[in-house]
This record gives sequence, structure tokens and C-alpha cells, in this order.
Amino acid sequence: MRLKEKKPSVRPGIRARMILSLGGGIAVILITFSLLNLFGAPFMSIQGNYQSHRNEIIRKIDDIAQLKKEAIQRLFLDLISHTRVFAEAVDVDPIAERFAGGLARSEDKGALLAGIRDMEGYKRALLLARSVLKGYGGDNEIRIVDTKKGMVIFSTHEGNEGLDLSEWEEIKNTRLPGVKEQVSFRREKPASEVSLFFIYPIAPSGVRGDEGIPSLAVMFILNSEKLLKPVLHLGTGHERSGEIILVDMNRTILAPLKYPLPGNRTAETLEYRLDTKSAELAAWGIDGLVFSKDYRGAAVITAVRHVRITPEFGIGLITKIDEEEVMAFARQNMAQSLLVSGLGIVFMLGLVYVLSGMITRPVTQLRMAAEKIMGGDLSVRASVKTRDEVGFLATAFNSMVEEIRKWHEELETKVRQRTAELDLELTERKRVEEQLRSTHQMADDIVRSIPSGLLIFHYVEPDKLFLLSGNPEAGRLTGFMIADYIGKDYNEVWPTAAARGLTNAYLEVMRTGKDFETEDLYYKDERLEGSFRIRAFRLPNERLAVSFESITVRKQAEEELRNYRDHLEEFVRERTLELEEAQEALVSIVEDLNEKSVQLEQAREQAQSADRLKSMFIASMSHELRTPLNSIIGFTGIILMGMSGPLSDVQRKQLGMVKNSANHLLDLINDVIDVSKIEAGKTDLSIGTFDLSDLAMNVKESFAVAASEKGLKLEWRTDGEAEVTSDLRRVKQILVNLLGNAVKFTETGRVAISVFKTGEGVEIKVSDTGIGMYREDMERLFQAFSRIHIQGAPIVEGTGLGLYLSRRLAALLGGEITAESEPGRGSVFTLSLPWKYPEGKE
Amino acid sequence: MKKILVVEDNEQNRYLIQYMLEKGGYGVFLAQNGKEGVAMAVRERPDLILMDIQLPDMDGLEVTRRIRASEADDTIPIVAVTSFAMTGDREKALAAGCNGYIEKPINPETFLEEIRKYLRWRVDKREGSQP
Repeated sequence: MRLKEKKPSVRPGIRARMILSLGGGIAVILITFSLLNLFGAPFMSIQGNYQSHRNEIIRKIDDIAQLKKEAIQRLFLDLISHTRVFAEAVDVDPIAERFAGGLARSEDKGALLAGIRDMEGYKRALLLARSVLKGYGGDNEIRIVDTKKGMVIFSTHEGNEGLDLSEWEEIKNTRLPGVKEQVSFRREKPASEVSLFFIYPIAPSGVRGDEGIPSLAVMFILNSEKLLKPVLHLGTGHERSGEIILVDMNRTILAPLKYPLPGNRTAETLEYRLDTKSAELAAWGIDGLVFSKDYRGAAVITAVRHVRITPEFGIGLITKIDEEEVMAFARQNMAQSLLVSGLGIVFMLGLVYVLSGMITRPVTQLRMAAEKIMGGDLSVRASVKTRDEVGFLATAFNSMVEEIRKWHEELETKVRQRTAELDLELTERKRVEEQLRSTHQMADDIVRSIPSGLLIFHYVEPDKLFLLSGNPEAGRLTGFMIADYIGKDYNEVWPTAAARGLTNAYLEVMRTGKDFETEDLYYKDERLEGSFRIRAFRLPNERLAVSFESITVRKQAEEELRNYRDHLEEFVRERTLELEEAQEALVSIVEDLNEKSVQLEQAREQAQSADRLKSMFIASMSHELRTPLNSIIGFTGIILMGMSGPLSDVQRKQLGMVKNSANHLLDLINDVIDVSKIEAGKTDLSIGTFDLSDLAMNVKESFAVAASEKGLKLEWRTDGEAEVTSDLRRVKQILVNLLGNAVKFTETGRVAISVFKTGEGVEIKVSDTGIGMYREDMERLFQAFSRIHIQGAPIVEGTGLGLYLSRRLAALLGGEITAESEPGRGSVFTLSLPWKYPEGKE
Repeated sequence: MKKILVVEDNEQNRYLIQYMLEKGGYGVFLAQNGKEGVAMAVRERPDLILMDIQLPDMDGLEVTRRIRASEADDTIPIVAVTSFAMTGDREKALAAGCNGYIEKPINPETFLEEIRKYLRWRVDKREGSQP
């Protein structure tokens, strides 16, 4: 355009017209040459640039593929570590147990899940899950699945509990031995977006099912499109046709394609298998470059990467750009060159037409310049200085060449610039990544190796601190298995920390960011006791770091040393005193014991000897006392009989008194022996059957002489034979005693013995018309050695044991003796005996 | 003359019984203890033995059993002499091989009559009849 504007100032010379008219043919040849030169030179130059540009692009695509591969790997590494953190921190046992228990009891599913949602552990798990999800944003989800039942038992999305996933291959696979993490892309419901499911099996400690095979799995669900979008963005400056395609190992497309498929088909992810060479390579796990056609049939440059995520799962990454776009860049440059060239030629033709005759030296010079330019030298200029047509032509030619040169330079600069930028970007990125990796490793190593305990907590506003991790030293100092307490609240792990102000100090650190430090904190609960130096400081991402060291041992040692020094002497004195006291106490205890045991032994021996003495006394009485008496009575008897010669009356009377006294003494001895035998419980009974009325008559007969001497009437009455089972000699002893008393205490009248049968046994009444007794005297009647003195009555000799012995004997035989009396009117003694002696009684 | 063996440890009683028996016209042998009693029962072949039950070396029941087990004539009546108070002595004496029982203190008025009764019993037994 600029050239056209200069056109009116041209002044055509006569010589030029002459040349034009003379040499038209030469002009045609010249024009042809010029055209060839003008077209050819820039085209060839651009062709060379295109090749180097394409190579750059290929290199770039390959680099991008590598970067993207690393980005995806990082993404999944993060995902795996987050899932592990959650799986290890969450206390899933109570939920799983409650769920299993509920199913076993066939509880209503809705009620069971609602009940589980209300559990404290469930809420804690929710808090934890949400804090893990925080970094991912959006509507991502964490689930816990009971893999045996295939049922979701926990979800951050209320309403998803109870979902049935039992048909999922991945869920079934978790129960195969050795299977760890699994990745799958799924559309959970037909209309929903594609989600990435990261499944991580865990074995609950309590509900360990079949030989330790995990029965639970954590399921991390992320919106795959949102997650992969940053990766899919090419970021090269050539996004027009550039595309990144992700396929799984079956060549299934994981993210939407950029272009529609041929035949107006919409490429739905997960339903379409990509059928290209690059997809095939990616699926096979081969990295490389492919120059072929893509799914549209367009020629593309493709870099293929295989990203291994788990041993069983990998993603194919296809990065491509259309050949067309690479070529278009070069073509655009060429078109511009051609446009400028074309304009020049048209102008030249006009000049040739107008100044046909001016083709002389300047023309030749122009041709030579053009030839040089054709050789690739864009710095050549036509040196025509004339102010005629040729001069103008040369100027125009020169400016045209200058334009071409500028375009060319611009192109090269652009390519160089872009390449340099790309290099810088790549280098910087690699450097940062390397730095990050080594920093991570270094931080890990430091935390593991420091001699202080270090605990990391996750802070949840306003006042929750959940234990995330701890180094080995922390476990050693506290004596806990730190892993057992991951996910637990701080106050739960250290129950008395709140009371000691520790919890508040930590919360303050989280709120204000100011470090907390204490030199000597004494901590004590049921499991842990000691003094600690503690430092707490805030970390990014709502984390709290607590480092601590035990100073218990040092403190104890100091304290003990001080105490020891201060009280050594006193201590020694006290100990000595204590020992002496203890020894004395011991000696006195032993003495006491010895004494007591001797006393006890003596008492026992005394008791035994007293018992022996009594038995011996009774035995002696029965023999030693009676033997001399027997001979006294015997000799008195034979002398009284006159066997040893005649006696005077006085001698007879006095010897009779000796005999009576001896007999009385013998009675007394016999009664005493009987009494002591009864009281010692050593009475021998001789039980037999006899007729009581017969016995009563015999006893009566034995008193016949005594009664008749006193002039008493002696009577015997019976209502017939009365056979009893008892001790005849003892019954006789009783009756002799009763009848003897009656005869003894009756002066006039009669004495009667009568036998009557009653329902329970036999009654023998001994009645007399004697002196009788007062009621108060009768109470003493049956007591031992009680002799009743009755006013006006003669003192009659007796042992004082008769009635006492009779009553004891009657009781021994299962009977009793009762008495009725009236002073001056006489007495009635009644002996009642059972039909049969009660065996087993005393 | 009928021979009567008296086994009695007490000197006065021994004399009393001896006096009464000799007055009654019997030949009397005296033994002071059980051992002597057994020896004399074998050697003297008495017509009756009066056996005190309470002896210093062994009781009269044991002596009776030994006499019964010895070469002495098993038809000799042995009469136990013991106190009234010893319940069950009569049964024990009969079980040990005694034939009768006289209570102490001895009643001189009935003593010789009882001796005659037991001597008669031996005669009856020899003739094959019971008393």
C-alpha cells in the first residue's frame, strides 16, 4: 500500500519506454525469472523452519506427558496416604460390632443404621473423615463398607449408609488374600458423573472374621472429572487441538473427550473403548511417541505414558496434538510472505508495463540481488541509486526484502523464546519437586530420630485435638502403643491433662499461633506418671506438634540425693530403733505364745486328770469302800447268829447297832456311787421285759416284816398284769426307796402300793397315812442331801439321796415321779413309766 | 467231805467265808489271785468254786474262762460273788461260765443254804437233770 501511494510521484523516462518497446520478449523472460525467484526463496526457508518447529513440539508433548504422569502419580500417592491416615485413625470397631450384632439379631435395617449414626464413635469418625476430605473440596465422600455383607455402614453422605455394594467385583476382591488398595472408575447411578473409587481394605481388631481376612474397607470417592481436570489441562500454548486422554487398562475412556466421535456418536466415558494405536500402547503399559491417526481420523503427534497406581491398576495417559496445527503455523507464515511477494510482483509488472524500456543495468543489478536472496541471503539489497523507475523499483525491492527478513526473524525469535521458556519451566519444576521430596524425607528422618517424644494432633474447632501420629520416642516415654490411640481425642488419651491446664494451653497455641513451653510439668493418671518438659507449636493445616521429654528420673535422682544427704543419720538411727523395737515385739510375741500354749496344755491336762480322777474315784468307791464294809457286816452277822459262841443281851444289842450303822453306810455309799454315775452319764442300764404288778408285790413283801413291826397295814392293789420293757433293778430300786420312805414316815394307819395302766404306760402309786408335808417343803423334796425336818416328827436316818436318785432314775427310764401331800394327812408318790423304755434317750 | 475253793483277794472276806464254810463242815482251799485260783482248780478238783469278781491280777470272769478252758472238771459249779451295785454283773458272770451268783455283803443267815443249793445242782447235773 505504501508503494502504491508513492506511485503518483513517478516520472517515467523516455529511455525506459524505448527499452520496453524494444525488448518485450526479454521482459517476459525477466518477469518469469523474477517470479520464480520471489516465490522460491521464502518457501524453502519456511520449509526448513517448519521441521525444526515440529521437532520442538514433539519434544514438548513428550515432556508434558512425563509431567502429567508424575502429576497423576502424586495425586494418587496423596489419595492413598490420606485414605491410610483415615483408615488408621478411625476407630471403626464399635461401628462394625454394632452393625454385625444388629444384623445377627435381624434388627430393622433403617432403625439399625439410625442407631449407628447416633453412636459417639460414628460422630467422631465423621469429624475425622470431613477433615480428611477438606483438602479435596466439593461433594467427595468417604465410606466404610462391610465387605462380607457388601453393605455401606458409614458414609459422610447421610443416606448412603445401607447401600448394597455386594455385586461389586472390587468389594468381592477385598476378601481375596493379599489384595490391597484397589482403584476403579464408576458411574454409581446411570445419570451421575463418573467417580473415582479408591478402596482400601482394613481388618478391624475385634471383628476379625475368617482367618484375619479384612472384613471392612474404606472407600474414598472422588469426582473423577474435577479431580483430573487440572491434569487434563494441557497448558502448552497450543490448546487449540491439543488433548489429553486417560484410559484404563481396557482402553476405556476415563474422562470426556474433546471431540465428538465419528458418526455423530457422543463419547461417553466408561462406555467407550478407544480404538487407536496410542490407546493400545498405553493399555499395554508402554511409554513412547506415536505418529498416527486419532479417533477422529486426524493425523496427530502423540506421547503415550503408562501410570502404574496399584500393582493391579494403571492409567494410560495419551497426550496429543494435531499435525494440522503444527503445519498451520508454518503455513500462516508462508501465506504472509506470499502476500507481500505477490504485491511486489503486481507492482513490478506495472512498472515493467509502464517502464518497459528501462531494463538495463539497474534491472540486471536487481536480478543479481534477487539471485542472492534466492540463495537464502536476506541481507542483500539492490544498489540502484537512480531516481527513475528502476531506482524506485530497487527501493521497493529492497523494502520488500526487508519485510521478508523481518517476518523470518520474528518467526525464529518466537520459536527460540518459547523453547527457552519451556526449558526454564521444566527445570524449575523438576528442581522444586526434588527439593520437596528430599525435604519430606528429611522431615520424616528428623522426627524419627529426635530423642524427644513428638506427637502430631489434628485440631478441630473449637476444642478437639485428635492424635494423628507420634514418633517412636513418644511411645517409649508414655509407655503406650501410639498406634492404638491414633484418632482419639487428646483428653481421652491423657485424662488428667485438662485438669493440669495442658489442654487449654494447646488449644491456645492453635488459636493464637504462639508456642507453648513448660520446663517441668508433673503429670499423673492411672497409666502414666512423671515430670515432663513440653513444647507445643502450631503447624499448617490445623496441626499441632507437641514435643516432650521425661525429666522424672533426673528429678527423682536429685530429690533422693538431697533427702539422702539431709537425713542419712536420722534415717540410720530410726532404722536401728525400728529394728530393735521389731525384735523386742517379736520376742515378746513368741514368749506370749509359748506361755499361752503351756497354759493351754496344763488346762487340758488338768481337765483330763480331773475326769480320770472322777472315774477312778467311782471305781474305788464301788470296790475299796465296800469291801471292808462287807466284811464288817458279814462278821457282825455271824457273831449275832451265835456262830462264834453265845452273846449277852447287851452285847447282842450293841452289835445290832454296829450292823445297822454298817448297813446304812453301805446304802449311803451305793447311793453316792449311783448319783455320781448318773451325773457323769455313765449309768449302765439293763433293759428287759417284766411284769410291773408282780415286781410291786415283791417289793411290798420285802417290807412286810418292817411294816408289821410298826403295826402298819401294808396293801397291794393292781388292775391286772402290767408288762413293761425297762430296767428291772432300777425300777425296783425306785419302788424300794418310795415304799421305804412311806414305812419310815408313817406311824399309824396304812401304806399302799397300787399299779394302774394308763394310755401311755403304767402308774405306780405309793400312798401312806403319815406325817405329810407342806407345799414349800415339797419343793426341796427332790433335791440332793435335803433332809426335811418335820415339826414333832422323829428324826429318821436316811441318806438324803433317795428321792433325788429315784427321780433321776425315773427320768433316765423315760418316766417321772410326782408327789402330793398334806401335813398330818399323808403323802402320795406316783411313778409313771412308759410301756417301753425309749431307746436312745439319756 | 465236800471241797470248796474260794478265790478272794481280801483277807477279812477270805477268813469270813472260810470260817462260815468250815462251820458248815466243808473242806476249804483258798486262792488269793486269779493265777492261783486256776492252778488250784486243776490240782485240788474242788466240788464248788466261789469266785470273787474283782481280783488284783485279772478279773473273776477271766479266771472262770481259764478254768473252763483248763483240764479241770467242766462240771464244777462256779459261783460269782460280787456287789449289788454292779449292774449287769450277773449276766456277764453267767456268760463267762459261772453257774450262779451271790451278792455282797454276804448274809450269814442264808449263805450256807445257798452253798448247799449249788452243791446239789452238781449232783443233779451228774445224774443228767437240771436244778
